Amino acid sequence: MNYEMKKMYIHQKGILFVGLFIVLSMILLFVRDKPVNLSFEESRSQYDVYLEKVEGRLTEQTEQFLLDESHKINQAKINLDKVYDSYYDGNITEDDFLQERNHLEEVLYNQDGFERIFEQYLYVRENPEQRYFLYTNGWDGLLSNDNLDFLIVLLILVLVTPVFCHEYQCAMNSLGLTMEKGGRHQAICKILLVLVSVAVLVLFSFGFRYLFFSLKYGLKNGAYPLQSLSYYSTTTKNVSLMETFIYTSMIKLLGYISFSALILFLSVWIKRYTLTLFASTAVILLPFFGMGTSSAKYIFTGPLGLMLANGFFRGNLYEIDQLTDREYLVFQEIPVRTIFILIFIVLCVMLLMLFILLCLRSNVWHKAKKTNANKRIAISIMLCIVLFGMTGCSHKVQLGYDIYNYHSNRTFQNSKYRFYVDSSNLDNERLVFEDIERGVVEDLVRTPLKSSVQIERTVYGNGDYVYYIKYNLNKSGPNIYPDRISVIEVDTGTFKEKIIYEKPIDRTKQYFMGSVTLNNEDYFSLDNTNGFFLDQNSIYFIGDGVQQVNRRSGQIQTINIPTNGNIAYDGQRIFFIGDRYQLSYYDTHTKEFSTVPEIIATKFFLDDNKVFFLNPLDGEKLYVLNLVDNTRRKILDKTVLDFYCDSEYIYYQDMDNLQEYRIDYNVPACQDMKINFLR
Amino acid sequence: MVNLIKYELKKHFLKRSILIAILIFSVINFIKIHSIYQENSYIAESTSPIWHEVYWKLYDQFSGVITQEKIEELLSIYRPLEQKTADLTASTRTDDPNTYTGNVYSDYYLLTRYYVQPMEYAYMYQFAANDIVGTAQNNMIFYDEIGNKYKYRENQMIAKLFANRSITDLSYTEMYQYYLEYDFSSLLVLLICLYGLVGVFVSEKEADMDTLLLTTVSGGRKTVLAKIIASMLFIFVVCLWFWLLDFVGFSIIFGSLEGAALPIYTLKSFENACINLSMSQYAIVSAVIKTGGMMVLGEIFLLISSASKNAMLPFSANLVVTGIAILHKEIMEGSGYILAKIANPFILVANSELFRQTEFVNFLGIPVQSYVGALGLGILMGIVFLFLLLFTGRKNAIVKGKAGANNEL
Repeated sequence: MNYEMKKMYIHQKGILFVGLFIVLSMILLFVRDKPVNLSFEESRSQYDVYLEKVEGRLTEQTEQFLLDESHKINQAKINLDKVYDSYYDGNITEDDFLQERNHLEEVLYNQDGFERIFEQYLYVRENPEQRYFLYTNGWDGLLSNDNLDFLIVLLILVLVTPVFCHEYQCAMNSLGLTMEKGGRHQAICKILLVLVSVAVLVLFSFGFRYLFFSLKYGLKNGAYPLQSLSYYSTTTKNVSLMETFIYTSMIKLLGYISFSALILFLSVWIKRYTLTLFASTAVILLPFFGMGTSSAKYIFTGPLGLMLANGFFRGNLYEIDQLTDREYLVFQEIPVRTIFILIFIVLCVMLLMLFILLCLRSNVWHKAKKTNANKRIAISIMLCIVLFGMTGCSHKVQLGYDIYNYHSNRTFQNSKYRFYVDSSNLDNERLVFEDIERGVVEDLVRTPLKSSVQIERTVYGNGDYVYYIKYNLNKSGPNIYPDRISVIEVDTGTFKEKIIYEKPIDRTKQYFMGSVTLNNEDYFSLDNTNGFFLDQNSIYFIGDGVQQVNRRSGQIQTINIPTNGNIAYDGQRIFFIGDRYQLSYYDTHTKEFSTVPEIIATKFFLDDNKVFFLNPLDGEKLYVLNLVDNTRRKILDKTVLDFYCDSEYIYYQDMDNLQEYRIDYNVPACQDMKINFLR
Repeated sequence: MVNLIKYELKKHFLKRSILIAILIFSVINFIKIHSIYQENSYIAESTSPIWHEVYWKLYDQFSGVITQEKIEELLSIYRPLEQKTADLTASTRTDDPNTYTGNVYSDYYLLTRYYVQPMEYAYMYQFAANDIVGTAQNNMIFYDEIGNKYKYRENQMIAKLFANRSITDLSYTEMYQYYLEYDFSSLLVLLICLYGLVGVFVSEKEADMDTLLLTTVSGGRKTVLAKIIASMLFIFVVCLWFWLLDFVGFSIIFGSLEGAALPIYTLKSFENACINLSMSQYAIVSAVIKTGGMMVLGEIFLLISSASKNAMLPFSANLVVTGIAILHKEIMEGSGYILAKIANPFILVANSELFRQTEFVNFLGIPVQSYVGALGLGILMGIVFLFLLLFTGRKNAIVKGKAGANNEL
């Protein structure tokens, strides 16, 4: 046994492959792992506060608590708005205001966490017996996927194939058979060594994954039912999370061991590296690639099905047929009985293969001569297994930045052109630009092949460069949908286009010829963009929230900025109206939130070092704040409903007569302003 | 040389195991094509017999050259159905004798998907193509004024490509739709080639015959050349077999060869196709390019295996290379980074991505269509790998000796 171990790990460089496997596995796990539910991580501390109270089964008390809390939070939001309005209108004193505000803000402190727990409640209440409240990212990372670990498959191939093949290559097999311990005894040693080595490696891999998810996210509440994870939302199997992990690990272990036994069997029968490797690979890869994501991939593929194990615990999955709008089954739950039968069959076949292997490796000379016939039968059997398996399925920008205001996300003007969204034809809204000197209007997006793209009706510009968002449309199936988002930079000097960012946003895109679906949920969220701005390092998409995308790594991070008001960017700070109308900003360099001292605004507009805003403390009058010396002054003594600016004027709507006016941009004080009647 | 090639062919490729693998993979290929038909076609005889029957019953009436009469006739059936189903209050009975399929919604969906939408697309295509030509011509004027020569040329090419495009006929295209985007057989060919090629250089090393070969007149570079030619012949034959099988398989399983003469852009996914070929012509061009791509990948397999003493490491390494090539191609699918997309020889193998869109790559300021670029890069890679194979191997001792003697003379 010691000799065999030395041969396998030292002479055949097994130790090197194992080391490489461990290092690569760790790197891939550390680099590729992303939380399945990102929003849990973004408001983890607030979420934990509520989880502590409702963790476990949904009881009448917890349900009542959640409904009460929901009511309390909604009421607190309404009351807080009222308190601020009362204070700004001068109806309550500052002391009363502060006291009331602090009390209400205390109620709302964990609001984000509550929203997460409430979403979970909506899922749990559908089946409270089988769905418990728990923090799911750890268990989701460990159990909610059906990907094949290609690294282990490759390691087993390179580790196990030479065990017998090396002897046949050196023609040492015959010599071995002449020795007392050279035949069956040696074969048993080899088989034991391989099976134990594979088991240890696979168990190490499972243990490492468990440890990784346990340390990174935590794997508490292992006794909760499996259906608590939405990936298993339709399963009828009454098992706990920990049980599922143990069962799937055992099934996977059996899968990897049976795959190793198959390689051993093939190597003794075939006696050649190439054919052994080919047949072993074909048995795994062909059904994996050929059978898509159907449940047949688990049932009819021998070792492969067991190696993928998690699918054995999933329930029926349906998809909506877009043509007929009806549900159709895409994955059928595999009954427990079928799983046991499968395990039994694989065990029997494995033992049979090992028995035949031992017979072939006994000290009888003439058996070695049957190679050709055996080889043919071996290939036929193995490829027939595959066949049987198949039948189951039916620029960089200059350092200075032009100011961006989300309120003017459909226009941008530089020294030569004015870019805007032409909405004169609502069926064909398009990005156009006007030559300021000549007054000629042209399309900004000039590709003649417009039918395969969709352009977002928003534009961002900085100096000579303008940017727009393009979606590529996938028309390969009956339904047309966007499958890739790109941000295009246009040099307005030459109108040369350049892609500065692109990402697939198709949630259902399958890789490896349809066999693997990757979780593209985060990119999918970009498919709802109303505006964007960028700097040298990041692109900020404004949709339901503000999402910062790193231009190099593609990493997406949500910045907690409300998108119901204006959002402005000066190249470093993102300004917005925060809680209770406080003008706030997020510094993209320090990644910290701050408020502009003592500025309360219901609406604002950022210009170079100036912020125009409506002051609710002074009856919605228009003010300007100088960001350099932090001074502010009133520029219009009228109650304004809404306003916006361009490079020359401030346009506003008078609250009294709802008419629109404009004033000159650089008015020193309100008494000097010039008002032009517009309509 | 011819004899050498024959020997190499016989030694490495005329093996029972390869023949059996080809045979079994062929059956697998057929089964896969059948599963595509069953999973995707709404008019498959086995899964939707009523739709199948009704579709083919109406086919004679509406297929062929699209005329105003046919359009009106189709709309006369379709409009009432559209009205009946608009508010979703029509009867859901499945034995309605006044319908084709027994159910009014079923009739509506069948006609929408298989007759109205394709006829509307075909009828409207020439207008869409004219728009493209018009936009491209406007762009030419714009870019000419701005001085952007590259974009000018690009639009010039688009205007020329899309001029006079139209779809005159309505035909059954489902078979070509799935056939022309079918890549599973490429994976089968890749695996067979991987198996066949990995032993070409390794088998002699495993038997310690490689050094002996260098002492023979035909050894060294001559043998290497013979091995390469034999390998390419092997790839060619395997490809030919599987591509033919694909065509036969799709024709038999989908039960139709209709639409072969229609232009490739009859298929909606090829709406902006970069070539003006018929579907059957495109199938041949695609198969030839697939074979070329497979040969480049074959050279990579040979190159990796020529550096090893046994089959295990090169087989695993080639498997990893294949996996990376497939994944890269899929990740780059639809990407605007054209050069990064076409620098992968696997894109020649699964090549519908190259023809589905009209895309350009900037070659020294000249717009080159992406498929031309991919072909150029593929040929370049093929030549480089060929030279590497020929000149990195050990030289023949006898030839060296002769050369030395000649020099002395």
